[in-house]
Amino acid sequence: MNAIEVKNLIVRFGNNIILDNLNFEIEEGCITAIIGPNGSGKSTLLRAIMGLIPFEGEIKIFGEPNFKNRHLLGYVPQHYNIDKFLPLTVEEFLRLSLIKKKFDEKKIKQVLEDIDIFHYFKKELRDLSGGQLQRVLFAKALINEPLILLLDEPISEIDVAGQKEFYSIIKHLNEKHKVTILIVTHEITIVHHFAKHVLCLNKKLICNGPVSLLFNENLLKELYGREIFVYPFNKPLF
Amino acid sequence: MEILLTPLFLKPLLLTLWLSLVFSILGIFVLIKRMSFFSDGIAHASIFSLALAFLFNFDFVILGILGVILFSSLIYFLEKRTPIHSDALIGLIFVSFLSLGIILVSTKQGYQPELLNLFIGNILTINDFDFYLSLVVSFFILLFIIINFSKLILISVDQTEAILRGLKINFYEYIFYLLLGITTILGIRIMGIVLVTAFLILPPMTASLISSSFKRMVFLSIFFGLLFTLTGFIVSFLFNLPLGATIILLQTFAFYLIFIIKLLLS
Repeated sequence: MNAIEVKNLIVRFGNNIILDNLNFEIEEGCITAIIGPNGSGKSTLLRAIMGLIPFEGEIKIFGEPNFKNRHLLGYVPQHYNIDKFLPLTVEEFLRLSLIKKKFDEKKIKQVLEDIDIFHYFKKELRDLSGGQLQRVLFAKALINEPLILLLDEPISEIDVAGQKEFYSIIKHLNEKHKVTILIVTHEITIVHHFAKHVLCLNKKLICNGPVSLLFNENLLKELYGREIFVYPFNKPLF
Repeated sequence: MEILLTPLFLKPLLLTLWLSLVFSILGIFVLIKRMSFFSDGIAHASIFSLALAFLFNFDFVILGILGVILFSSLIYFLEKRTPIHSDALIGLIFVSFLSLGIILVSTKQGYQPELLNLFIGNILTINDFDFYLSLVVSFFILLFIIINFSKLILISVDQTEAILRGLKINFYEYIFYLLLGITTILGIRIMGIVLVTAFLILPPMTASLISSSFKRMVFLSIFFGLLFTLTGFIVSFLFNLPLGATIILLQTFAFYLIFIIKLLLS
């Protein structure tokens, strides 16, 4: 079954077309990377899938219009602006996301341990580093047990060691729990090691297919407008 | 001091304490959502309602609430329909109705003590009808806030997550605008138009300085709200000072004191 189906998607901001007639499908259980230069509409695509912005065309989540099934989504944003005045703890922040579910201590504990944030569960959000906050946002997305996880450059604030853990958690979620992953990233090298499918975006869909497509230097040049070096696929990343 | 327990003082004291409880909780959302100018704008725009009440000899609280429904709705819908920032829209509504109110008031000649009461606040002049109306209306506002507390916080701190979890954020935001506006009107009797916003934001501001969790901040905000209302009542009675200004002065003093102590300790 398709986790996400996008048909004739157009997003406009005023007179500017941000996404121009996109058509693609994402299979259930697939890890898909969305790549493209700055301003290519990657984050906008995620926002359209979540139904946060108006669009033309059709977006379906597991066969239903996106606004009906968006509760099946988990989202990790690129940035989260913490109000420095607000003494909200990690625990309180996570509890907020469980607004329509029971707070299952055991399950939450498991998520926190997986993401390695259990030791700062009682800490205030405003005291966390960028990397710690990113982990909390990841935990928040997971505690509702999403079937599809949307990640918008989720490792931009995480150190190298943390990145390795982050990807292993995503792999685990994908392999064990069949969670469909859609990740926006600038890390072309990581896409090779991690994703199965890739969408290249520059307002229009430049490519849509298996990750091996990325070895096409001409395609990357077309996408980014310059030569792109790709770390060899057969070498370990970390 | 026994005079404070007589009906003349006891009823205003109880109403002020009750409203300070409502204000201390609502003020938390005002701070998170950065809406203190909204409350200030509503308070000033309500001079229009005050002028109508005054000219037609009608109850201010009822006209004030009707006016607030109009002002809040205008601000909310203009925010959604125009690219203009919220603060500019609040400024627009605020000055339009303030000017209209001033012109209406100017049509009546002579000294108007009731006007001064609403500018600087005077809870002792409240009549029975307004007393019970304020109690009932604020009770339902508090009830709504308590029932929807987690939802309102989630909408305030993380709108995307709130949408994904299926909350109708436009509905909650509009209702919040109305409730905040109505609460502001209820506070005008005590604090006056110029100080009512401070009654909302000072308790949570002070609480946030010494809170290590949101839960603690809520309790401390309520505690500060009640404490300074009670002490403000006593001090204003003992020294014959205006109640609203006394409460706000005590609250600002507490804020500065805690801020300085925290600064020195760090």
